[in-house]
Amino acid sequence: MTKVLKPGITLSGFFFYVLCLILFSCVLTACKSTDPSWHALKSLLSKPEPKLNPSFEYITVQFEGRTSRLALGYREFVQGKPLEHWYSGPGEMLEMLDGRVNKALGMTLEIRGNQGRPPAWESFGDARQTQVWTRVIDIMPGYRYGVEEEITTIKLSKENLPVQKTKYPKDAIWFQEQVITKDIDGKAQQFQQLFAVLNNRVIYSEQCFHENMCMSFQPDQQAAR
Amino acid sequence: MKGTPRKLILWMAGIVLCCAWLLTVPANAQTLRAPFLSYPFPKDAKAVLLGSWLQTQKLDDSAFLLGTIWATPEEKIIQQRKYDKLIKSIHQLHQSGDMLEDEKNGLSKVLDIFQPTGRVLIDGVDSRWLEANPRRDPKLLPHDHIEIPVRPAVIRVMGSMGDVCELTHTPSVHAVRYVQACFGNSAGPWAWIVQADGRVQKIGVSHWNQFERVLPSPGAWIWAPHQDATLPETFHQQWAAWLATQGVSDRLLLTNFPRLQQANTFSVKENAHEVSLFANRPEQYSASNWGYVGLVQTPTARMQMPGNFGVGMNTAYPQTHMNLFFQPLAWVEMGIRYSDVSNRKYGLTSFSGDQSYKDKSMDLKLQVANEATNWPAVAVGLRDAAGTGLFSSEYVVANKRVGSVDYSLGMAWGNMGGRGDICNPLGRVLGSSFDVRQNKVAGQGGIFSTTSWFHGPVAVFGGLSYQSAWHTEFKIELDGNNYLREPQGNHFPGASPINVMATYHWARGVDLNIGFIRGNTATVGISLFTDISRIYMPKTSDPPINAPRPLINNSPDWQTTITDLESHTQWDVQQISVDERAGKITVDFENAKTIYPQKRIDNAVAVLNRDAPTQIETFDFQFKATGDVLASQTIQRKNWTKSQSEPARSEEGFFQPPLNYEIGSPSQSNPIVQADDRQFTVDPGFDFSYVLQGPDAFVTYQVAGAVRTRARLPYGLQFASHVRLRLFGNDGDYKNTGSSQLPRVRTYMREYFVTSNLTLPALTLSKTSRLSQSFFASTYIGYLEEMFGGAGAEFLYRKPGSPWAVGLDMNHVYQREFSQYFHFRNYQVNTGHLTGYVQTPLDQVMASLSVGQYLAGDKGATLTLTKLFNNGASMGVFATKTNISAATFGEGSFDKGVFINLPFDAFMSRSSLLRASFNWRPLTRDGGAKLRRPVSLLNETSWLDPMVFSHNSLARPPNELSAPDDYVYE
Repeated sequence: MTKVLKPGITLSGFFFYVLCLILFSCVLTACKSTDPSWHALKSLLSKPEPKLNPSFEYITVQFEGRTSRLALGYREFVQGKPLEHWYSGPGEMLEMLDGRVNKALGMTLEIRGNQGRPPAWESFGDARQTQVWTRVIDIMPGYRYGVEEEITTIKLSKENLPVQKTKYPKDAIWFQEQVITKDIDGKAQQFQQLFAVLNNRVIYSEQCFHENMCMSFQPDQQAAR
Repeated sequence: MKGTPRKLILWMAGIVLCCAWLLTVPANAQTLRAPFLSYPFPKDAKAVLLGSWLQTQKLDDSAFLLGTIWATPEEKIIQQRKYDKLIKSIHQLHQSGDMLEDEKNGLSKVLDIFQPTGRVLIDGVDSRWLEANPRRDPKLLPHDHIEIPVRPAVIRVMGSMGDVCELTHTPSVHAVRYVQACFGNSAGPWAWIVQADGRVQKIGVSHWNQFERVLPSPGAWIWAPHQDATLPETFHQQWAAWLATQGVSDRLLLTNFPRLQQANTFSVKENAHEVSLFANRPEQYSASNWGYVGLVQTPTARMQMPGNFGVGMNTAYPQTHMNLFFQPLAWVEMGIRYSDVSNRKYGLTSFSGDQSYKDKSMDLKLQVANEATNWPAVAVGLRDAAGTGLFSSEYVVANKRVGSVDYSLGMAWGNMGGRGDICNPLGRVLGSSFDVRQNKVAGQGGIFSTTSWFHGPVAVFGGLSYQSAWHTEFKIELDGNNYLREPQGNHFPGASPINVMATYHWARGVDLNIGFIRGNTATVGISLFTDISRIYMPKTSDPPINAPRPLINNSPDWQTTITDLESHTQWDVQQISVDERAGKITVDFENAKTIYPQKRIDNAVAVLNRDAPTQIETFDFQFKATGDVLASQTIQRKNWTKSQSEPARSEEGFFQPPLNYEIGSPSQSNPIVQADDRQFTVDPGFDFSYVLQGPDAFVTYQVAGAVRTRARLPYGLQFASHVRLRLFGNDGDYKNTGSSQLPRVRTYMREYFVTSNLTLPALTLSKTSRLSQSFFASTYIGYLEEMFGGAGAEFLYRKPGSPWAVGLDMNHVYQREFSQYFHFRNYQVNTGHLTGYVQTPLDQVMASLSVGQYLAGDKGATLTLTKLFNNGASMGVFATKTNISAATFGEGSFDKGVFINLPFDAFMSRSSLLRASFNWRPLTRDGGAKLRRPVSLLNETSWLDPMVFSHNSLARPPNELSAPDDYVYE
C-alpha cells in the first residue's frame, strides 16, 4: 500500500521529486561544501597519497581528517632557530620558524607576514611557566594586514600532558598556547595551539590560522632530528 | 674682505644653478616618499627572476612587499595610451555636462602628477614562493624597475574633485569607515578600493548597499566619488584602474596634491567591533512559493545573478508548485511552473484515474529600474502569462533596502490582485476598459492574453524581509490575493491576507522554507539553485598535462604523439606533417568541436612541445569540418613556452594568435603520420526519456541502453546510427494516446514510446561540403529521427568571423512506423526553413528566425533567443506561430518553450565534448513541429564564429577555492 502524505502526492512521489531536485542541484553545483574553512587548504589536502621520494624530507599536515605531505625546500638557521620552507606539488609554501607557521602562501588562506618575537623553547624554566608575547600578522584574503595577536605560552607539566599524545617520546616537552586575536570585523576570537618539543625542535604541533581552521604538523623523523 | 667677491660669485652661481634646475624640472614634478628599495635595471643588466633577485636584497619587516612595483617599458607604452584616453574622457565628460568644472580641474591636476609608471601587477611577492611558482615569477630585464615601498601607516581617500584625505591605517577598520570619516554625508553611494597590490574592489557605502566587509590594506587608495557626481560607471573603473598603476597611496608626499581634505578622526576603540556597520545581505535572493524572487506569495523587484537556474517545490494545501526559474539577463527573470491542486481532479476517472489537477504556467519579470540612493528597484512582471491563465496576474513592484531590511510595495492585477481594494489607475489614464477584467481561460490556454493584462481591480501588496546573521531570512507580507475567490471554486473562508515565512540558507544553493499563509495554512518548501555561468569543476580525472619543457628528441614516436594529442583534446588527428625547412609541424584535426577550444589547443601544444624536434619553431593546427579546413591557428613555440613559464610583461597579457580563415594551398610538407580515413567509433551509453504531466502519471519515463556509432567513409561520407534497448521505466502505464486535428506528426508519442523495446532511432548517411569560402552544403538520407525518415539538404551562408549567417534546409520525409524499424507509415511531407542567425549586440544574446513549412504542413515562423555565457552554457526561449488557429493547434495554442544547454566539461572532472541539454515545452503538439535533422551546418561551422574563444572558456574557480592572488572582484 502506498503511504499518502497528503491528497494528491504519495510519499514515494514526494521523495522522488526531492531526490531529483537534490541530484540535479548536485550535478550543477558539483555538491560543493560551503563552509569557507573547509575550502581552505583543500587543494593542498585533497590529493591522493603521493609516492614519496626518500631523498626528501617531508612534513605531514592534517586538517579535518585529510592528510597531505609537503617536501622540505630549504632549511637555514636564523639566530640559531631553524627557518624551513616546505612545498606542495601545486606550489603552495609553508614557512616555519622554529616549528611555528611563519608564512603560508599560495593557499586559500595565506599568512603573508609575521612580525613577532616568540620566546625560545629553551627559555622556559619550570613546568607551568607562562610567557605572554605579541605578534602582528598579515592575513589574506581580505587584506587583513597588521592584525595583532596576544599569545600566552605555557609549558605543561607532566601531569597536564594532553591525552592521546602518548605516541610521542616521553621526554618531549609540551607547550600550550592561548591566542587572542580579532576576526575581520574586529570581534575578539581565541584558540589554542599545542607544541611538542624534543631537543629544542618541534616534533609535533597543532596550530591555527583562525578560530575554525586548525591543523596539525608533524615533520618526519629525519626532519625532526 | 678678500673672500667676499668669491663668496658672492659662489652665491650667484648657486642661484643661477637653482634657477636652471627649476626651469628644467617639469611643472608636474612629483615629490616621492623615500621607498625601501628602488632599483632601475641598467641597459646591460642580465635577465634575472624576481624571486632570485629578492634573495640578494636585504629586506626587513619595514619592506612592504604587497606594494611592490614592477615597471616594464612595454607596460609604460600601453599606460601612456590609457593616460591620453583618460585625459580625453575627462574633457568629453566635462563637455557633455557629466563632469563638473571643479571635478575636471581637480582630476586634471591629479593626472599631472600621476604619470604612467609602467607598473605590472604581480602575485604574492615572496622570494621562496616565487621560486616554486615560475609562472608567476617575473623575469626582470634591462630597463625594468623594481620599487618596494616602506610599509605605509596610512590610507588615502580621493573624492571626485581630486580632493585627497589621509587617515591612519587601522587594522579591522572597514573601508566604509574611512570614506565616512573623510567625506561624511557628501560621499556617494559607491566607492572603489585600490589595494596596495593594485587589485580593485567596488563597495557600497550607503545604508542601502553597505554589505561588503572590505578592509583596505596599508597604502590603499579609496576612490570615493561625491554624492553629486554624475560620472559614468566606466569612468570610475578607469580611474580606479589608473590609481592602481601608481603604487601605494603614500608613494607621493601629501603636499603634491592640489586639494587636501581634513578627515574626521575616529578612535580605534570606537571601531573595535565593526559588525553593526554592515547589513546582512542574503547570499542569494530567495524564491517565493511561486518560484520567482519574492516574499512568501508575492514577488519583489529583486533579481538573481545572470545565469541563475533554480528548481524548487513549495506546498501549501491544496496547492503544490514545482518551479523552474531562469535568469538569462540581469534584468530578466523567467520561469515555468507545474502546479498541483490536490483537492481537484485532473479529469474524469476514466481518463486520468485518481490523479489530481495539474496546471502549468510561464512567468516573466523585468527589472525596469535599479536601486539608487533615492530610488527603489522597480520590476514589472507577468505570472501564468501563457498557461491556462488559472493564476494569471500582472504586477508592478518596488523594493528599497535599509540595512538588513528589504521593503517591497507593489500592486497587482488578476489572481494576485484578487482583493481588488483599489481602482485600476490605468483605467483613469487609458480608459474605462481597463477597469474590467475578463476572467476566462483563454481558448486552449497557452496564448498571451494581452487583452486582459493589467485590466480589472488592483490590490496593493508588499512586505519586508529581514536577513538575519544566522543564515535565515524572515519574511512577512500583505498578500493581494483574495482567498475567498480562488479559481476552481477553491474558497478559503476566514483567510488572513498576512503571510509569514522563514527561509533558511542551509548551504550554498539550498534554501529551506517554512511558514504560514492565509493565517491558517502551513507551507513548506525547498529551493535549489545554481549559477550555470560559473559552474566549475577541476579536471582531476584527465591525464596529466605534459611539462612545458622541450626535451631534446629528434626521432619522436609519432604514434604516441597522436594518441596523446587525441586523449588531451578529444579531437581526431587526421594527419601530422613536418616541414623541416620551415621548422613547422602541421596537425590536421577532424571532429574538432569547439567546446573550450583554447584549453584543448594548449594541451595539444604541450604534447607537441614535448615531442617535436628542437628545430621545430612553429605549430600549425588546422581545424577541419565540412570536408575542408575551416580555420587554422599558428603558434610560435617559443612564445607559447614563454607564456607557460613566466608572467606577461604588460597587463595586456601574452599575444593570442588569431584564427586564420584563409584557405591556403595544401601543405607541401609530407604527412608523416596519417590516421585511418575510415574511422569507426562506438559510444555505448544510456538514454533517459520522459514525458511530464500526462494524464496517466505526472512523470512517465523510460531508461534504455543505447549504442551510437559513427564512421567516416570514403568521399567524405559520414555514417551514423543509434540503437536503443529499453531497460526499465513506468511507460507501461502510459495509456493516453492523445488527439489532434492536424496530421499527428508528434502526438503519437506514446506509440513511439511503448511499441517496441528494441528500436533504431537513427540510421543516416550524410555528407557536408564547403562550396566556397562562405557557402556550405550538406545532404543526408536515412532514418533521420525516431518519427521521420527521408532525405534532405541544407545550405548555409556564413562568412568567416561574421556575427550573422543565413541557412536554408529542404527535406522530404516519411513518418516512421511506431516500432522504429525500417518501415514507414502512410504520411509524407515536404518541410524546410529559411533561417537567419545573428549575434545581437544585446548582452551576448543570439537570435534566430526560421520561416517555412513544418512537419504537419503548417507554415509559419520560429523565433529563438539564446543567451550565451562565457563558460559555454546557454539558456533561451523559443516560440513558433504558424497559420493554424489556436483551436486547431489544441491545448497550448502555439508551440513554445525554454531550454538550457551546458557543456559536460563545465561540471565533469574529466574533459568531454558532450553537451547536456534540457528542453521544456509545456505541451507537445503537432503544430509548429520541426524535423530533427542529423546535420546542422551552423554547428559544423562553429570555428567561423567570431566568439569561438570568448564564449567558450572554462569558468574560473570561485574565489573561495582560489588563492587570494587569483581572486576576481566584480
